[in-house]
Amino acid sequence: MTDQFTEDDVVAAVTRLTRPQLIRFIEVDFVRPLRAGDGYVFRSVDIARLELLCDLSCDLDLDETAMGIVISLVDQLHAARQDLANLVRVIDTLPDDLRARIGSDWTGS
Amino acid sequence: MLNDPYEALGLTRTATADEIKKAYRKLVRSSHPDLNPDDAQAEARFKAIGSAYDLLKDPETRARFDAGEIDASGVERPQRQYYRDFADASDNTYRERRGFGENVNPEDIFADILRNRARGAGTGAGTGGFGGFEGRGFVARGPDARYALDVAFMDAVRGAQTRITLPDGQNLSVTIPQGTQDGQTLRLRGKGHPGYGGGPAGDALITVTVRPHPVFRRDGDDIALILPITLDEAVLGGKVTTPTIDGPVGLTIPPGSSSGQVLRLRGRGVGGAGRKTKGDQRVELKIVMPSKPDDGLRDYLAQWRKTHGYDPRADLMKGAET
Repeated sequence: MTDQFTEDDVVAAVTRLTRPQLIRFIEVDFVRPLRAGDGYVFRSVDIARLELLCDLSCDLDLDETAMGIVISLVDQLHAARQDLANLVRVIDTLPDDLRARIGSDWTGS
Repeated sequence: MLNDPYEALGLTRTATADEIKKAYRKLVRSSHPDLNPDDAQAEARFKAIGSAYDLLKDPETRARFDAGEIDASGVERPQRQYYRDFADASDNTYRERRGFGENVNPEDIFADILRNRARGAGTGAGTGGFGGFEGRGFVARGPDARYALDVAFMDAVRGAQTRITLPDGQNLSVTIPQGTQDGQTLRLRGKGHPGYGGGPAGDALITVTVRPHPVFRRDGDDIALILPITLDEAVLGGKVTTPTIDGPVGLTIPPGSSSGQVLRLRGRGVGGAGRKTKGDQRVELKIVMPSKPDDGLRDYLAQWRKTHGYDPRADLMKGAET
Protein backbone atom coordinates (compact mmCIF):
# COMPACT_ATOMS: atom_id res chain seq x y z
CA MET A 1 0.00 0.00 0.00
CA THR A 2 1.56 3.27 -1.06
CA ASP A 3 -1.35 5.44 0.05
CA GLN A 4 -0.36 8.73 1.60
CA PHE A 5 -2.50 11.40 3.17
CA THR A 6 -1.87 14.96 4.29
CA GLU A 7 -3.00 16.46 7.58
CA ASP A 8 -5.96 18.03 5.75
CA ASP A 9 -6.94 14.70 4.20
CA VAL A 10 -6.92 13.09 7.63
CA VAL A 11 -9.02 15.75 9.34
CA ALA A 12 -11.52 15.44 6.47
CA ALA A 13 -11.52 11.62 6.45
CA VAL A 14 -11.86 11.11 10.19
CA THR A 15 -14.92 13.27 10.66
CA ARG A 16 -14.87 13.32 14.46
CA LEU A 17 -11.26 14.41 14.59
CA THR A 18 -10.34 18.07 15.07
CA ARG A 19 -6.99 19.47 14.07
CA PRO A 20 -5.85 20.33 17.63
CA GLN A 21 -6.77 16.79 18.67
CA LEU A 22 -4.73 15.37 15.84
CA ILE A 23 -1.74 17.48 16.84
CA ARG A 24 -2.14 16.32 20.43
CA PHE A 25 -2.29 12.66 19.41
CA ILE A 26 0.96 13.16 17.52
CA GLU A 27 2.52 14.97 20.48
CA VAL A 28 1.76 12.18 22.89
CA ASP A 29 2.87 9.60 20.34
CA PHE A 30 -0.50 7.86 19.89
CA VAL A 31 -0.03 8.17 16.15
CA ARG A 32 3.29 8.37 14.42
CA PRO A 33 2.97 9.83 10.94
CA LEU A 34 6.07 10.26 8.86
CA ARG A 35 7.62 13.69 8.73
CA ALA A 36 7.86 15.32 5.32
CA GLY A 37 9.25 18.83 5.14
CA ASP A 38 7.02 21.07 7.21
CA GLY A 39 4.14 18.63 7.52
CA TYR A 40 3.22 15.04 8.11
CA VAL A 41 2.41 12.15 5.84
CA PHE A 42 -0.20 9.73 7.08
CA ARG A 43 -0.83 6.18 5.93
CA SER A 44 -4.01 4.11 5.97
CA VAL A 45 -2.91 2.46 9.18
CA ASP A 46 -2.71 5.90 10.84
CA ILE A 47 -6.25 6.73 9.73
CA ALA A 48 -7.60 3.43 11.03
CA ARG A 49 -5.77 4.01 14.28
CA LEU A 50 -7.19 7.53 14.56
CA GLU A 51 -10.70 6.11 14.07
CA LEU A 52 -10.01 3.78 16.95
CA LEU A 53 -8.68 6.65 19.09
CA CYS A 54 -11.85 8.62 18.32
CA ASP A 55 -13.97 5.63 19.35
CA LEU A 56 -12.07 5.51 22.61
CA SER A 57 -12.31 9.23 23.32
CA CYS A 58 -15.78 10.02 21.92
CA ASP A 59 -17.76 6.83 22.46
CA LEU A 60 -16.08 5.54 25.58
CA ASP A 61 -15.15 8.92 27.07
CA LEU A 62 -11.63 7.81 27.88
CA ASP A 63 -9.20 10.52 28.89
CA GLU A 64 -5.70 10.73 27.55
CA THR A 65 -4.16 8.58 30.27
CA ALA A 66 -6.68 5.80 29.81
CA MET A 67 -6.34 6.00 26.02
CA GLY A 68 -2.57 5.64 26.35
CA ILE A 69 -3.02 2.50 28.40
CA VAL A 70 -5.59 1.00 26.05
CA ILE A 71 -3.66 1.74 22.88
CA SER A 72 -0.48 0.34 24.39
CA LEU A 73 -2.32 -2.85 25.37
CA VAL A 74 -3.82 -3.10 21.89
CA ASP A 75 -0.33 -2.82 20.42
CA GLN A 76 0.98 -5.49 22.73
CA LEU A 77 -2.00 -7.69 21.94
CA HIS A 78 -1.27 -7.45 18.25
CA ALA A 79 2.38 -8.23 18.87
CA ALA A 80 1.41 -11.31 20.86
CA ARG A 81 -1.06 -12.43 18.20
CA GLN A 82 1.58 -12.03 15.54
CA ASP A 83 4.06 -14.07 17.54
CA LEU A 84 1.45 -16.75 18.08
CA ALA A 85 0.53 -16.83 14.38
CA ASN A 86 4.20 -17.19 13.48
CA LEU A 87 4.65 -19.94 16.03
CA VAL A 88 1.67 -21.81 14.61
CA ARG A 89 3.07 -21.42 11.11
CA VAL A 90 6.38 -22.86 12.22
CA ILE A 91 4.73 -25.74 14.03
CA ASP A 92 2.71 -26.52 10.89
CA THR A 93 5.93 -27.26 9.03
CA LEU A 94 7.12 -29.78 11.62
CA PRO A 95 6.80 -33.54 11.17
CA ASP A 96 3.50 -35.09 12.24
CA ASP A 97 4.81 -36.86 15.35
CA LEU A 98 6.35 -33.65 16.67
CA ARG A 99 3.13 -31.76 16.03
CA ALA A 100 1.16 -34.42 17.83
CA ARG A 101 3.47 -34.16 20.82
CA ILE A 102 3.16 -30.39 20.87
CA GLY A 103 -0.59 -30.74 20.66
CA SER A 104 -0.82 -33.17 23.57
CA ASP A 105 1.63 -31.17 25.66
CA TRP A 106 -0.35 -28.04 24.97
CA THR A 107 -3.68 -29.45 26.12
CA GLY A 108 -2.11 -31.71 28.75
CA SER A 109 -0.29 -29.18 30.88
CA MET B 1 -29.25 -4.42 8.24
CA LEU B 2 -30.96 -3.74 11.48
CA ASN B 3 -34.63 -3.45 12.15
CA ASP B 4 -34.97 -2.25 15.68
CA PRO B 5 -32.24 -0.08 17.13
CA TYR B 6 -33.58 -0.63 20.63
CA GLU B 7 -33.22 -4.33 20.22
CA ALA B 8 -29.73 -3.91 18.85
CA LEU B 9 -28.72 -2.17 22.06
CA GLY B 10 -30.73 -4.54 24.24
CA LEU B 11 -33.10 -1.81 25.37
CA THR B 12 -36.79 -1.07 25.42
CA ARG B 13 -38.44 2.01 23.96
CA THR B 14 -38.67 3.60 27.38
CA ALA B 15 -34.89 3.75 27.79
CA THR B 16 -33.49 7.09 28.92
CA ALA B 17 -30.71 8.87 27.05
CA ASP B 18 -28.36 7.83 29.82
CA GLU B 19 -29.32 4.20 29.52
CA ILE B 20 -28.79 4.34 25.78
CA LYS B 21 -25.31 5.71 26.26
CA LYS B 22 -24.44 3.15 28.90
CA ALA B 23 -25.73 0.25 26.85
CA TYR B 24 -23.81 1.43 23.82
CA ARG B 25 -20.56 1.76 25.75
CA LYS B 26 -20.92 -1.68 27.19
CA LEU B 27 -21.45 -3.14 23.74
CA VAL B 28 -18.55 -1.20 22.25
CA ARG B 29 -16.30 -2.86 24.77
CA SER B 30 -17.34 -6.32 23.69
CA SER B 31 -17.89 -5.64 20.00
CA HIS B 32 -15.29 -3.17 18.83
CA PRO B 33 -13.22 -5.04 16.25
CA ASP B 34 -10.02 -3.41 17.44
CA LEU B 35 -10.64 -4.35 21.04
CA ASN B 36 -11.67 -7.87 20.04
CA PRO B 37 -9.35 -8.65 17.14
CA ASP B 38 -9.96 -12.40 17.21
CA ASP B 39 -13.73 -12.06 17.00
CA ALA B 40 -14.75 -12.39 13.34
CA GLN B 41 -18.32 -11.31 14.07
CA ALA B 42 -17.28 -8.21 15.95
CA GLU B 43 -17.32 -5.93 12.93
CA ALA B 44 -20.93 -6.74 12.00
CA ARG B 45 -22.09 -6.33 15.59
CA PHE B 46 -20.18 -3.10 16.03
CA LYS B 47 -21.69 -1.69 12.86
CA ALA B 48 -25.17 -2.60 14.00
CA ILE B 49 -24.86 -1.11 17.45
CA GLY B 50 -23.12 1.94 16.00
CA SER B 51 -25.97 2.57 13.61
CA ALA B 52 -28.49 2.02 16.38
CA TYR B 53 -26.67 4.44 18.65
CA ASP B 54 -26.34 7.07 15.93
CA LEU B 55 -30.10 6.97 15.54
CA LEU B 56 -31.02 6.94 19.21
CA LYS B 57 -28.47 9.33 20.67
CA ASP B 58 -30.02 12.29 18.86
CA PRO B 59 -33.41 13.01 20.48
CA GLU B 60 -34.74 14.35 17.19
CA THR B 61 -33.97 11.31 15.06
CA ARG B 62 -35.05 9.10 17.92
CA ALA B 63 -38.43 10.87 18.05
CA ARG B 64 -38.84 10.56 14.31
CA PHE B 65 -38.02 6.88 14.45
CA ASP B 66 -40.46 6.38 17.34
CA ALA B 67 -43.12 8.15 15.31
CA GLY B 68 -42.44 5.90 12.35
CA GLU B 69 -41.25 8.71 10.13
CA ILE B 70 -37.91 7.11 9.39
CA ASP B 71 -36.63 3.57 9.57
CA ALA B 72 -33.28 2.44 10.77
CA SER B 73 -31.80 1.97 7.32
CA GLY B 74 -30.93 5.63 6.84
CA VAL B 75 -28.29 5.68 9.49
CA GLU B 76 -26.09 2.81 8.49
CA ARG B 77 -22.53 3.67 9.16
CA PRO B 78 -20.27 3.94 6.15
CA GLN B 79 -17.73 1.27 5.46
CA ARG B 80 -14.54 1.84 7.36
CA GLN B 81 -11.27 0.14 7.90
CA TYR B 82 -10.37 -1.02 11.33
CA TYR B 83 -6.99 -0.80 12.89
CA ARG B 84 -6.80 -4.55 13.26
CA ASP B 85 -6.85 -4.84 9.46
CA PHE B 86 -3.43 -3.19 9.46
CA ALA B 87 -2.10 -4.34 12.76
CA ASP B 88 -0.64 -7.54 11.36
CA ALA B 89 1.04 -5.88 8.39
CA SER B 90 4.76 -6.36 8.46
CA ASP B 91 5.36 -2.62 8.21
CA ASN B 92 3.14 -1.69 11.14
CA THR B 93 5.31 0.68 13.13
CA TYR B 94 3.03 0.59 16.15
CA ARG B 95 3.38 -3.04 17.02
CA GLU B 96 5.86 -3.63 19.78
CA ARG B 97 8.60 -5.06 17.67
CA ARG B 98 9.64 -8.44 18.86
CA GLY B 99 9.22 -11.85 17.50
CA PHE B 100 10.35 -13.10 14.14
CA GLY B 101 11.71 -9.94 12.58
CA GLU B 102 14.34 -10.04 9.89
CA ASN B 103 17.12 -9.37 12.35
CA VAL B 104 15.87 -11.57 15.11
CA ASN B 105 17.12 -15.05 15.60
CA PRO B 106 14.09 -17.32 16.14
CA GLU B 107 16.08 -19.20 18.74
CA ASP B 108 16.00 -16.08 20.88
CA ILE B 109 12.24 -16.17 20.85
CA PHE B 110 12.07 -19.75 22.03
CA ALA B 111 14.70 -19.02 24.63
CA ASP B 112 12.61 -16.09 25.74
CA ILE B 113 9.48 -18.18 26.04
CA LEU B 114 11.29 -20.87 28.00
CA ARG B 115 12.84 -18.29 30.25
CA ASN B 116 9.51 -16.68 30.97
CA ARG B 117 8.13 -20.06 31.84
CA ALA B 118 11.06 -20.73 34.15
CA ARG B 119 10.58 -17.38 35.80
CA GLY B 120 6.90 -18.01 36.27
CA ALA B 121 7.66 -21.35 37.93
CA GLY B 122 10.44 -19.95 40.11
CA THR B 123 10.18 -18.34 43.47
CA GLY B 124 10.20 -14.85 42.05
CA ALA B 125 12.87 -13.70 44.46
CA GLY B 126 16.13 -12.13 43.43
CA THR B 127 15.17 -11.12 39.94
CA GLY B 128 17.01 -8.57 37.86
CA GLY B 129 20.64 -7.61 37.72
CA PHE B 130 23.52 -9.65 36.46
CA GLY B 131 24.37 -13.14 37.48
CA GLY B 132 20.96 -14.73 37.89
CA PHE B 133 22.16 -17.76 36.00
CA GLU B 134 20.61 -20.60 37.91
CA GLY B 135 17.44 -21.67 36.25
CA ARG B 136 16.51 -18.13 35.53
CA GLY B 137 18.74 -17.23 32.65
CA PHE B 138 21.07 -14.37 32.11
CA VAL B 139 19.51 -10.99 32.75
CA ALA B 140 21.18 -7.81 31.57
CA ARG B 141 20.34 -4.36 30.43
CA GLY B 142 20.57 -3.90 26.67
CA PRO B 143 23.36 -1.84 25.12
CA ASP B 144 22.86 1.83 24.36
CA ALA B 145 22.31 2.85 20.78
CA ARG B 146 23.92 5.99 19.38
CA TYR B 147 22.41 8.21 16.76
CA ALA B 148 23.18 11.59 15.23
CA LEU B 149 20.48 14.13 14.57
CA ASP B 150 20.58 17.31 12.52
CA VAL B 151 18.28 19.95 13.98
CA ALA B 152 17.20 23.30 12.57
CA PHE B 153 18.38 26.31 14.59
CA MET B 154 14.84 27.39 15.47
CA ASP B 155 13.82 23.91 16.60
CA ALA B 156 16.83 23.80 18.92
CA VAL B 157 16.23 27.16 20.58
CA ARG B 158 12.44 26.83 20.83
CA GLY B 159 12.17 23.09 21.34
CA ALA B 160 10.48 20.73 18.93
CA GLN B 161 9.16 17.27 18.35
CA THR B 162 10.79 15.21 15.66
CA ARG B 163 11.51 11.64 14.80
CA ILE B 164 14.45 9.76 13.51
CA THR B 165 14.25 6.79 11.23
CA LEU B 166 16.39 3.96 12.46
CA PRO B 167 18.39 1.71 10.12
CA ASP B 168 15.77 -1.01 10.53
CA GLY B 169 13.05 1.33 9.25
CA GLN B 170 11.49 1.97 12.65
CA ASN B 171 10.78 5.47 13.81
CA LEU B 172 11.88 6.93 17.10
CA SER B 173 10.08 9.97 18.41
CA VAL B 174 12.48 12.55 19.81
CA THR B 175 11.67 15.61 21.88
CA ILE B 176 14.20 18.37 21.30
CA PRO B 177 14.14 20.32 24.58
CA GLN B 178 13.97 24.08 24.40
CA GLY B 179 17.47 25.56 24.35
CA THR B 180 19.27 22.48 23.06
CA GLN B 181 22.91 23.28 22.26
CA ASP B 182 24.98 22.19 19.34
CA GLY B 183 26.80 18.98 20.24
CA GLN B 184 24.46 18.16 23.14
CA THR B 185 23.47 14.53 23.63
CA LEU B 186 19.89 13.58 24.36
CA ARG B 187 19.14 10.40 26.25
CA LEU B 188 15.95 8.47 25.53
CA ARG B 189 15.54 5.90 28.25
CA GLY B 190 14.73 2.41 27.12
CA LYS B 191 14.93 3.25 23.42
CA GLY B 192 18.24 1.52 22.84
CA HIS B 193 18.87 -2.13 22.10
CA PRO B 194 16.65 -4.68 23.86
CA GLY B 195 17.84 -6.22 27.10
CA TYR B 196 18.84 -9.82 27.58
CA GLY B 197 16.69 -12.31 29.35
CA GLY B 198 13.95 -9.86 30.19
CA GLY B 199 16.38 -7.16 31.29
CA PRO B 200 15.52 -3.55 30.52
CA ALA B 201 16.40 -2.09 27.13
CA GLY B 202 19.37 0.24 26.80
CA ASP B 203 19.06 3.94 26.11
CA ALA B 204 19.19 5.78 22.83
CA LEU B 205 21.87 8.48 22.87
CA ILE B 206 21.26 11.12 20.28
CA THR B 207 23.95 13.66 19.52
CA VAL B 208 22.43 16.83 18.17
CA THR B 209 24.02 19.01 15.53
CA VAL B 210 22.33 22.39 15.27
CA ARG B 211 22.29 23.88 11.79
CA PRO B 212 23.34 27.56 11.70
CA HIS B 213 20.71 30.21 11.09
CA PRO B 214 21.20 32.86 8.37
CA VAL B 215 20.19 35.68 10.75
CA PHE B 216 20.46 34.55 14.37
CA ARG B 217 23.61 33.46 16.12
CA ARG B 218 23.69 31.73 19.46
CA ASP B 219 26.04 32.77 22.25
CA GLY B 220 25.26 30.79 25.37
CA ASP B 221 21.68 31.69 26.14
CA ASP B 222 21.95 34.97 24.27
CA ILE B 223 20.92 35.42 20.68
CA ALA B 224 22.97 37.83 18.59
CA LEU B 225 21.99 39.37 15.32
CA ILE B 226 23.06 42.26 13.11
CA LEU B 227 20.21 44.64 12.35
CA PRO B 228 20.53 46.97 9.35
CA ILE B 229 19.21 50.51 9.98
CA THR B 230 19.01 53.58 7.77
CA LEU B 231 21.16 56.69 8.06
CA ASP B 232 18.21 58.76 9.25
CA GLU B 233 17.23 56.17 11.87
CA ALA B 234 20.83 56.36 13.14
CA VAL B 235 20.86 60.15 13.29
CA LEU B 236 17.33 60.84 14.46
CA GLY B 237 16.59 57.68 16.34
CA GLY B 238 13.28 55.87 15.94
CA LYS B 239 11.28 52.74 16.44
CA VAL B 240 12.08 49.78 14.21
CA THR B 241 11.08 46.16 14.19
CA THR B 242 13.64 43.45 14.82
CA PRO B 243 13.15 39.72 14.40
CA THR B 244 13.61 37.61 17.52
CA ILE B 245 13.42 33.86 17.93
CA ASP B 246 9.84 34.32 19.15
CA GLY B 247 8.75 36.70 16.40
CA PRO B 248 9.14 40.38 15.55
CA VAL B 249 9.57 42.85 18.39
CA GLY B 250 9.69 46.67 18.46
CA LEU B 251 13.09 48.21 19.19
CA THR B 252 13.88 51.87 19.92
CA ILE B 253 17.02 53.19 18.24
CA PRO B 254 18.44 56.06 20.32
CA PRO B 255 19.28 59.25 18.34
CA GLY B 256 22.91 59.36 17.23
CA SER B 257 23.46 55.61 17.08
CA SER B 258 26.55 54.20 15.40
CA SER B 259 27.22 51.05 13.46
CA GLY B 260 28.46 48.33 15.80
CA GLN B 261 26.49 49.67 18.75
CA VAL B 262 24.77 46.82 20.60
CA LEU B 263 21.26 47.11 22.03
CA ARG B 264 20.06 44.52 24.46
CA LEU B 265 16.54 43.05 24.48
CA ARG B 266 16.19 41.47 27.90
CA GLY B 267 14.60 38.05 28.07
CA ARG B 268 14.36 37.64 24.33
CA GLY B 269 17.05 35.00 24.18
CA VAL B 270 16.97 31.30 24.83
CA GLY B 271 14.92 29.84 27.68
CA GLY B 272 14.12 26.34 28.77
CA ALA B 273 14.31 23.87 31.59
CA GLY B 274 17.03 24.44 34.16
CA ARG B 275 17.26 28.17 33.49
CA LYS B 276 16.00 30.75 35.96
CA THR B 277 15.71 33.45 33.32
CA LYS B 278 15.84 33.53 29.60
CA GLY B 279 18.88 34.91 27.82
CA ASP B 280 18.88 38.25 26.03
CA GLN B 281 18.91 39.17 22.40
CA ARG B 282 21.82 41.41 21.46
CA VAL B 283 21.10 43.57 18.46
CA GLU B 284 24.15 44.99 16.73
CA LEU B 285 23.29 47.99 14.60
CA LYS B 286 24.62 48.37 11.09
CA ILE B 287 23.99 51.60 9.23
CA VAL B 288 23.16 50.96 5.59
CA MET B 289 23.44 53.81 3.06
CA PRO B 290 20.64 54.36 0.55
CA SER B 291 21.19 52.27 -2.54
CA LYS B 292 21.20 55.31 -4.86
CA PRO B 293 23.53 58.25 -4.20
CA ASP B 294 21.51 61.23 -3.12
CA ASP B 295 22.61 64.60 -4.46
CA GLY B 296 20.79 66.60 -1.79
CA LEU B 297 22.36 64.55 0.99
CA ARG B 298 25.80 64.83 -0.60
CA ASP B 299 25.54 68.62 -0.95
CA TYR B 300 24.29 68.98 2.58
CA LEU B 301 27.10 66.88 4.02
CA ALA B 302 29.69 68.78 1.97
CA GLN B 303 28.52 71.92 3.71
CA TRP B 304 28.14 70.21 7.07
CA ARG B 305 31.68 68.87 6.97
CA LYS B 306 33.14 72.38 6.76
CA THR B 307 31.74 73.35 10.12
CA HIS B 308 31.34 70.03 11.96
CA GLY B 309 34.43 68.03 11.10
CA TYR B 310 35.29 65.28 13.61
CA ASP B 311 37.84 62.50 13.73
CA PRO B 312 36.59 59.20 15.21
CA ARG B 313 40.06 57.72 14.58
CA ALA B 314 41.90 60.27 16.69
CA ASP B 315 42.19 57.91 19.68
CA LEU B 316 42.19 54.67 17.73
CA MET B 317 45.81 53.71 18.39
CA LYS B 318 46.04 55.40 21.75
CA GLY B 319 47.41 53.00 24.32
CA ALA B 320 48.02 50.32 21.73
CA GLU B 321 51.57 49.17 21.16
CA THR B 322 52.83 50.00 17.72
